[in-house]
Amino acid sequence: MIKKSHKTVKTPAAAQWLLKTMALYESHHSMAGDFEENYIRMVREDGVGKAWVWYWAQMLRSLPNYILLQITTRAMMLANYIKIAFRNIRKSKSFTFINVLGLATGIAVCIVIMLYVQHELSYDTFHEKADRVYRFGNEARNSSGTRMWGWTSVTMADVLKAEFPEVEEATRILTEMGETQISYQQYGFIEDRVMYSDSHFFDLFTVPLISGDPRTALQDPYTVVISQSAAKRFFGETDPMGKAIQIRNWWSDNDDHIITGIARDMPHNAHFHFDFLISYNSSRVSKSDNWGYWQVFNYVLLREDADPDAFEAKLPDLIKRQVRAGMDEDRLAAYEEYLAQGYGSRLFLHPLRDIHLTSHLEHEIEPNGNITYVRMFSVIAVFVLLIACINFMNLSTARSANRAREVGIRKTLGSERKQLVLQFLMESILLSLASLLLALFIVTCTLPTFRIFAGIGNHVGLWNQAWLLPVFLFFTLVIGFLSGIYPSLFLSSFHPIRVLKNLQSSGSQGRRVRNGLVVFQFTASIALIASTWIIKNQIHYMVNTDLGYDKEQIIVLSNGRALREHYDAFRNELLRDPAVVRTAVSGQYPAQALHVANFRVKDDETRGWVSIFNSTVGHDFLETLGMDILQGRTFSRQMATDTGAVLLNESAVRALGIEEPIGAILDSFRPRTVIGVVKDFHFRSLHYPVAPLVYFLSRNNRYGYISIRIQGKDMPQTISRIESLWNRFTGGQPFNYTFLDEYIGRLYLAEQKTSQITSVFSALAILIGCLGLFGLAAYTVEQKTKEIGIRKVLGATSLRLLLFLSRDFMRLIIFAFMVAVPVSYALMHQWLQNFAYRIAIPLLSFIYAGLLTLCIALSTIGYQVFKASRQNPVDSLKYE
Amino acid sequence: MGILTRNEEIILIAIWKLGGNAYGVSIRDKIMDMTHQNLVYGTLYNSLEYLIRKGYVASRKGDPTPERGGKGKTIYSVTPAGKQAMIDTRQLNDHIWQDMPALESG
Repeated sequence: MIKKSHKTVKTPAAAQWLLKTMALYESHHSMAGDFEENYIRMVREDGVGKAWVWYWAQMLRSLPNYILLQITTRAMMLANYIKIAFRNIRKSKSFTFINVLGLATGIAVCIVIMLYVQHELSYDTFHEKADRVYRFGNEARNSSGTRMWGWTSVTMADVLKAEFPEVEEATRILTEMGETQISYQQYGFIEDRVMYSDSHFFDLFTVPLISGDPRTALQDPYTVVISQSAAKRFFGETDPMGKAIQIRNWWSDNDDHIITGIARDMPHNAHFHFDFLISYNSSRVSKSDNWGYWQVFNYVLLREDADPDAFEAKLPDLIKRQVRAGMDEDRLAAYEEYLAQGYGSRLFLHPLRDIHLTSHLEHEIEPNGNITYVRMFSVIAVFVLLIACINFMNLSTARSANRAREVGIRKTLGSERKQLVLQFLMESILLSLASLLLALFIVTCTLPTFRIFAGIGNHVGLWNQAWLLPVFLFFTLVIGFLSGIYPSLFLSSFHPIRVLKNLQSSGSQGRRVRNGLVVFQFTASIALIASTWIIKNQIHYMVNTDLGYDKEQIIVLSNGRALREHYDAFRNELLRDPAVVRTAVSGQYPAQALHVANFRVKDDETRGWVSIFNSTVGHDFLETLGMDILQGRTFSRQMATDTGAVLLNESAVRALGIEEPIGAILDSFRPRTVIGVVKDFHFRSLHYPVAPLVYFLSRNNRYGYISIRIQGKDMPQTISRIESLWNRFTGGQPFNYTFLDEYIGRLYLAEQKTSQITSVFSALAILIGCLGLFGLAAYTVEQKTKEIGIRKVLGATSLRLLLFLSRDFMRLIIFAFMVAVPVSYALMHQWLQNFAYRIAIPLLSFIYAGLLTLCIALSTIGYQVFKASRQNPVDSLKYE
Repeated sequence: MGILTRNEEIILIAIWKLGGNAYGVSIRDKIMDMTHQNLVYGTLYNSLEYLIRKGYVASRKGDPTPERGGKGKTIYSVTPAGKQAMIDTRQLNDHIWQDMPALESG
């Protein structure tokens, strides 16, 4: 009877389901039993309805407790996982250390590179109208090739505003030529961040003025806006507004300029910076309304609805109109013919924000960055991180040898697979978090050095890039997860009995992957080392190659115009110094040339104009620099007619097509007679081939640069004597000097930097590669402990064992070497195309790189192998 | 020396009194009997779980009975540590209440 009633009673199904899903106690089964027992009792005593209500009430009122218990249980499980993870980590310290160090290095490299990339991409984005501002570039094509210029016509800003409705505003920037001396009261300084611009400058660029009115500050001639830091430097606490400073350079001649504005310092990530922004009207250039005078950087602000491509398409017509306007019939015909040959200038627009990374014109305002480097580094960052992650994964998997037994026992004791997976994941996430911490520490330590090295400002930091940390935390967790998931799934899949009976050679499945990884890492290492080697060779070649003149022992004074008419007297005094051999002036830095003008042989209509570099030099210039005259003679003090004479280099003779150069007459601004031919020398960096060059003779020796060839050992003494002489003749004007050879060396600053970067990356690649190898070697040795023991018992020597154990690794490295050679050869071949004068790729560099890598790799595994081979076989075999 | 909370104390006393027959239903009945207050199963289970974690209570599987729809019981018992805690708690109680002036007015 009772039994029957049991069968008829049904507990509420939904409530039971709820109980089942919610329950987390050891056995929800017995709990449900308790509920049911109680329920049945109530049904008997109080009827079904009341029992049903009671059941539900019990259920619902128990819910908060369930949830609470759930949470505490989960937390306890987590704490337990972490505790065990910590134990495991502590148990294998060296493994953990290698793992964390490798991953930390990867993350640190990645963070640093991302900071750099982010900085490079941020250039000029702070200008509010940056998306509508464009700079003009000029692609000039003529018989000697195509050149990309930044300078365009001085009248362009006015023409554009008058003729193109889509142009909202336009402005120009004129940069200094040579050096600028700024004086206030009795103090004078050479300043190098000096620019000229007009009153529309502030319409295009977001440069806030602390005092002064941006609309009028640059309106009048002889006004100047100075930067905050310059104001502080020159005036300290006093208010500079309305004060007069003297500005003397190529464009202005020591006139008083009134300070009409103080601008906040430009941020580091701008493609130009100024300390002195002088009104354009103050410059000599502003007097010219000649379209053909291309000397300034022109910027336009397009209207919001304007299409830049359509605007750009109208520019060729603009040039034609403007050029034709100033020509007579004859020249017009010559010009048409010139155009018909495909020559002439093409104007193009460069978006403001892209200038820093993608513009590489001649005469950039400041050296720009390079999008290629940004891309290259991004790729490297991803690769380094990837390798570090795979290494991390790899080491964890390789460790399965030790842990297979642990898994077996855990499984036997009833661990579920889920729990094991969680356990392993927890470990790898913990390690990855530790790596992140270490990486942040590394970055904090190395960032100051890196800032200087990469030429990025102090504002680039770890803690002021708010987005960076969450992103990296997230990525680290992902890395930890991904790196942990394979080993954890793999390890937890072990069959307990097979593992415990030592049947499963754990970790052997991943072998191919691991070997592939080692090959990849060492390919990268070898390729990087070889590349570094080749880059260094190329730099060495460029710095030491014979430039066609003697660049050693030449001091260049760069404020020559301060001597005014006293140069000759200065020179005479100077030459009485036994340490001074020769001296000469030049308009541009000696043995460098920036200016280009068009030349042709006079009255020779058959040939067109040829654009040729030119520079003005004083007497003795060629002798001072040690250049060779091939034909004719150099400028002479005895020949008064030499002021109308020119010297050509061999390339110019060829470009002009002159057969008998001496006595030939060239047509440019005025006719000039060729009196001599100079042997070709490198007046630009070795990126470029030797171009045609014309030397004019200076008329009055009042030029910017004075080259002094000195001899003898006591350089500081000589310089201080020159300085005191200088002070005597200039009345204490700033004395600025450089060494010619150092200046030439600086032409290859970008390459020096590349070489440093590849060195650093080679070191990193080797480090990370070796960490991976170290782990792998440890694993292999561990796997072969018994084999080693048996071999020793059978009489193998330590040396033989060393060879036996390292054989596999050697094979991998040799394979890596064979991959690395063609890859780095191709890359370096490509890189060397940047230089007109380059080395042949030295094949030895690959051999050296391979040997170096092999040695490092061998010493990495050597320690492990050596330890194993020295082991007493009794120890390794006694467990059998 | 582990001093039990009031809740723990009551549960342990209930289990102790029940001897070998302490499982969900009987414990709850016993407690309700002792305290004259309703007790929700969820609270009881939670407390039991924490007591197990503390090591004061041990649990083992009991046999299923027909009135439970064939579901097994979990039988609870007090461990030596639990017993010690009960003794300590009781001694403390006695000590605290010692020399207590009468609470009832009189």
